[in-house]
Amino acid sequence: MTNILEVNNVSKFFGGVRANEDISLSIKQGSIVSLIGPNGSGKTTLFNSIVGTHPIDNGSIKFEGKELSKMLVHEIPPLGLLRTFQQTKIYGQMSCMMNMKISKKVSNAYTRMFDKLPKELDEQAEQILSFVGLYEKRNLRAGELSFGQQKLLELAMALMNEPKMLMLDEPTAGINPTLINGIIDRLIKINDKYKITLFVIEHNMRVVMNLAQHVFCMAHGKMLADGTPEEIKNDKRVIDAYLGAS
Amino acid sequence: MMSDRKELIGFLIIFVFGILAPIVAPSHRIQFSELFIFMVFALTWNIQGGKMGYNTFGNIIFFGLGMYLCASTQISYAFNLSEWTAAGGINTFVHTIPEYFISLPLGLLVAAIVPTLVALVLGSFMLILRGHYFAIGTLGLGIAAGEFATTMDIWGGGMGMTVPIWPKVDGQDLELFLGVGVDFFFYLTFVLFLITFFTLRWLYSTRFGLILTAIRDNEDKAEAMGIPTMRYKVTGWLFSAFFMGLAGALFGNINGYIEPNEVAFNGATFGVYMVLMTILGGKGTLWGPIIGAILFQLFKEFFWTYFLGWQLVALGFLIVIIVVFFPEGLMGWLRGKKPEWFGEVVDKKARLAQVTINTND
Repeated sequence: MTNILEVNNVSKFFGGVRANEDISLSIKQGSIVSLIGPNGSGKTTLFNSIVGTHPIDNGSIKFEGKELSKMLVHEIPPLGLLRTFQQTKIYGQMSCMMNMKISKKVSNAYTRMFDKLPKELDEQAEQILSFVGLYEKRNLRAGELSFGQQKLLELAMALMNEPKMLMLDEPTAGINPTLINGIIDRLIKINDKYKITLFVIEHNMRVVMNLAQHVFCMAHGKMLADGTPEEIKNDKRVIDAYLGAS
Repeated sequence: MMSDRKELIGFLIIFVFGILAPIVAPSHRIQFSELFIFMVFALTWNIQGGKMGYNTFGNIIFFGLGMYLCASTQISYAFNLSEWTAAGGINTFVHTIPEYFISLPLGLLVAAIVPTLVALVLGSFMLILRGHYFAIGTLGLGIAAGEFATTMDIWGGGMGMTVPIWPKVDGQDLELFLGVGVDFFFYLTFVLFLITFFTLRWLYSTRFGLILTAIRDNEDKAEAMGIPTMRYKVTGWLFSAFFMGLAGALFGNINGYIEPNEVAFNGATFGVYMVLMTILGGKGTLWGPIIGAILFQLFKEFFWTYFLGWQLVALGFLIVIIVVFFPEGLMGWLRGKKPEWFGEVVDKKARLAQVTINTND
């Protein structure tokens, strides 16, 4: 299988802080890959580097062979690479349905700026909302939802955009344990049915073990280890990074 | 969005008012013209301040610019502009009827196009700023525009300039004829209001309007979803500038006299009024700015007429009352009381519904 995302020797420094140092990783098309690491190890910085939130100091990032590191934030999602946020970002004053409809991928041509929203969007939005369990909340303002529900809404909005690859920043943080099972199931289904490659930052090891086919582990801004979930679980360096080396 | 029937009633009231007002109350025609200009102020400020969440104090630039440009075009069509301003204007120069009615549309055209281009240039760097920085930045621009006009000798500098008066037909009663001019500009402001209103009504019904709201709610998210927000922000400003330029052109002609800091680029009055009116009526809504402008004009005329000297104190009180009791404006307050009028579903069941994911399907 070909690699959909290739990160080569990426470094990002904030002044003296080496948030990402010489990070390389590649993700196979259609796989589910997880990124773990202690707090402050640079996972979200890497996500931000990939989607262009800040310029990187070194290295290259290629999505389907296209170089991303010089692109602007809004130029990357149309290629089919989308991310969600650790702290939910939704349109709080709009209803969930509106949140969904605005997320549909549309050509960015100037002539399309003043299009009306097509009626068919309603059906698609409702379908995806019920897929993540939010159908009953569809007419509420998104800001009224609980944090966990907003996470689900963000996932639904991402699906509405029909990406090729989805980068999820802690999709199960702040969600109750019963619902987490449902989310794991949905993520596997997204990957299986819609062939969306998933790249997931996650702290919950149960989720990682159930979900990922391959795991990358970061610590102190560097790539520490990578392998199958089993290998990572038994890697002494990973255990040391989480629990502190003796 | 309000229900269709309530909107229709709103249209009817405005139409009847717009057509009958100068006939029923001819002595208040100027105030009514000003009311429509104010509605355009509030409607266009609402694009940035209400829909998009960018509190601008810079929209006054386009108003002042439109005013100066329209007057200069009108004058230049028939006379030499620098001679006109040097001579103090109307005493020596009077437009003939054809000159007047050809130069006015030309002036309006220039007053619409140039401020729009200026907004394109200013917007492409000012709109990079967000939040307070944008507000302060545009405030500075507004003041700079006034200072700039002060240095323009061809526009009379700090002394200001006069605007061509309504052309006089020989042998006709002057007062009657000037009255026709007042009527004429009243109806022009009414038409400008209608065009502004229906353009924005259409705009808010498109994907564009929705994206403005998305930018207000979470600009980072909109960017991360692949929306080129900058383009939408700038385009939104072009709409404001276009209509503000025209409003300025008409206001200059109604006022008859243009001066940099007291009339054209008057951020301390007009610049603040447009914000107040929009917030009073309810920012982010289509009808809020209109309601706000009507209430504000009533308030202003009442205090300026009967309590002159106290009007600024009253204005201060009004600001406090709005901020404390109607932070969301009248429309926002109404929305809280009668959400069903706004097509909002208040379903207890939906609010309390447990989110579950059925893993079997």
